[in-house]
Amino acid sequence: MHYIPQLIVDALLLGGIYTLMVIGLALSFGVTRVINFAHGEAVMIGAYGAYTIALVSGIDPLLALPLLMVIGCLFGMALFKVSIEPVLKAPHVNQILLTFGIGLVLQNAAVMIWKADERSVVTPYAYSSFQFGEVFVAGGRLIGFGVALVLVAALFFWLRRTEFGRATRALDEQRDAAVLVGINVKRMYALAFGLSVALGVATGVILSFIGAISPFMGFHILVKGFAIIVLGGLGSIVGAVLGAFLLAFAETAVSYYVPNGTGWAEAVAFAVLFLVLVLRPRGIIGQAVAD
Amino acid sequence: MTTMLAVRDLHAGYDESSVLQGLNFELKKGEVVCLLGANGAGKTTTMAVLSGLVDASSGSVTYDGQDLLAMPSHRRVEAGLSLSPEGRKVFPNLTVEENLVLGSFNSKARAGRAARLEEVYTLFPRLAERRVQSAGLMSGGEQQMLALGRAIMAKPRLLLLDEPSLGLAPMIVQAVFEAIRKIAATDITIFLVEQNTHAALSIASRGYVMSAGRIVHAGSAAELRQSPEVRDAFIGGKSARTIREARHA
Ligand SMILES: Nc1ncnc2c1ncn2[C@@H]1O[C@H](COP(=O)(O)OP(=O)(O)OP(=O)(O)O)[C@@H](O)[C@H]1O
Ligand SMILES: [Mg+2]
Repeated sequence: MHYIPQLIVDALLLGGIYTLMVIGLALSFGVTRVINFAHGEAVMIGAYGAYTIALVSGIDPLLALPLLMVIGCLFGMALFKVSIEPVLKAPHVNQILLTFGIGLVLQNAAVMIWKADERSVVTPYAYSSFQFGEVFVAGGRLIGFGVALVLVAALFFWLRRTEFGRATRALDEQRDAAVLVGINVKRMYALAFGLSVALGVATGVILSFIGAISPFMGFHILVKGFAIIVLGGLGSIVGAVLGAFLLAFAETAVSYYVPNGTGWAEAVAFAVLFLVLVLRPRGIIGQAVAD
Repeated sequence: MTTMLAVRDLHAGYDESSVLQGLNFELKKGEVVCLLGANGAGKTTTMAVLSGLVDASSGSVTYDGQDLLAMPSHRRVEAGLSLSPEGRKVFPNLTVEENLVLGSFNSKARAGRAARLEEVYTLFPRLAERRVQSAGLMSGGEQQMLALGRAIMAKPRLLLLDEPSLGLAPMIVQAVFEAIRKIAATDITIFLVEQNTHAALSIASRGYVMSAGRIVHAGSAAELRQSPEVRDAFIGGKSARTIREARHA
């Protein structure tokens, strides 16, 4: 039973990072109603961006983070304008194929540029660890959690308190009325998509120093992202946060209590997707907390 | 009086069905004009085309000398055209105040937003009491006031109102129309769609009657009250639905 405090701390740290990982996906879906199957690749590109900057110039991923996020946002907005905007009125399956294809292109580009090997960025804090009583905390994870927390809080602040954040929520809730109050819908779509890519990129930057990265990591991230979103109810940002912590707790518990659990933990997301889609297609939290 | 809006031979519809079949009408600056007609006549579609929610397939709309159909929706709002839509369409999980503040999202309305918010709260004290409540939790009448307030927050020069009395209790209808009367007393031009013919003709100076996507009748409020087409519906404040039923009888 002495595992329990450690389990809670590990799950919380992981949940914070999962929140950051999924919140961009929820944001872009909530606003544009297009599911971005390339979100995992945004994370992957962010990770390799941090890796490359560290390799070439020795700049720490945390210092490179703001720049990478800005580039990610601009790239996301441009990508939206040229590729997704033209298919907004197309059937969902066309949109899915399009974003899926964008993900494949990015994945293959990454294999060509960085090769298929796993890599990671070594930072002074990545392998440090702290002990609080019986509980050990890896420095990299703690810092990653802190960064995720700040970014998620910043996003919530933006949504609540700023002109464009308010417009984003309006568009999420009632598209026609958003048009009627004079919101430039296409511009807001591009902005939300750009922000979601920036948040994905930030997740990748964190993952670059807390674990191994590879050009294929996007797929696992996407599956986890879907599991989380499905747990929280599609399109709800608050739901996505709860879903992130639920998945983190489930995975951590499996890795603690199941023999050879670390491997099985990776299957939790698949199991969740399967169970929720079969038993509760509207998500566990449902639309009740839709934000 | 100068022309505010001129609609010429307007055609529009949805994927399969064409709804507006050569619509013609005009609004002068400062007027209050109502648009009457049976269910399915195309009144809401007219409003949707004017605000840019639905595209026109042909025809022209001149708004204050500009080609309205060439302007994207957000430019129309900036130019002072504001719609309070049928069914209210408030932002349900946003607070009353957030709904109102969003009303003045357009760049021309942001200056003076605080003052206009106070005006709306004066017009609808009910909204002031509920300012931190989620809009979706309010009664139909309160949501209608909110939709009207939000439309006013946009600093309109032409206010389009689509069935502000829809589904409201008679007392609330009175309160809403009292507010519209006050808005009409400013220099805002009002174009009002109503099934409540009695209420509509009590504040409009003239009106149009629409049927199957065309204007079939036009006249002053007094004339419309007397007109056989409207009169049957008008007695006792019955809805325009009665026109259709009477015609089919
Ligand atoms: N979104 C839509 N898609 C397809 N057809 C529609 C749509 N909205 C309205 N219609 C059709 O267009 C026609 C005109 O509808 P519209 O809502 O403009 O009428 P209305 O005069 O506002 O009627 P009501 O008094 O019932 O509000 C109707 O036949 C309606 O079924
Ligand atoms: Mg209608």
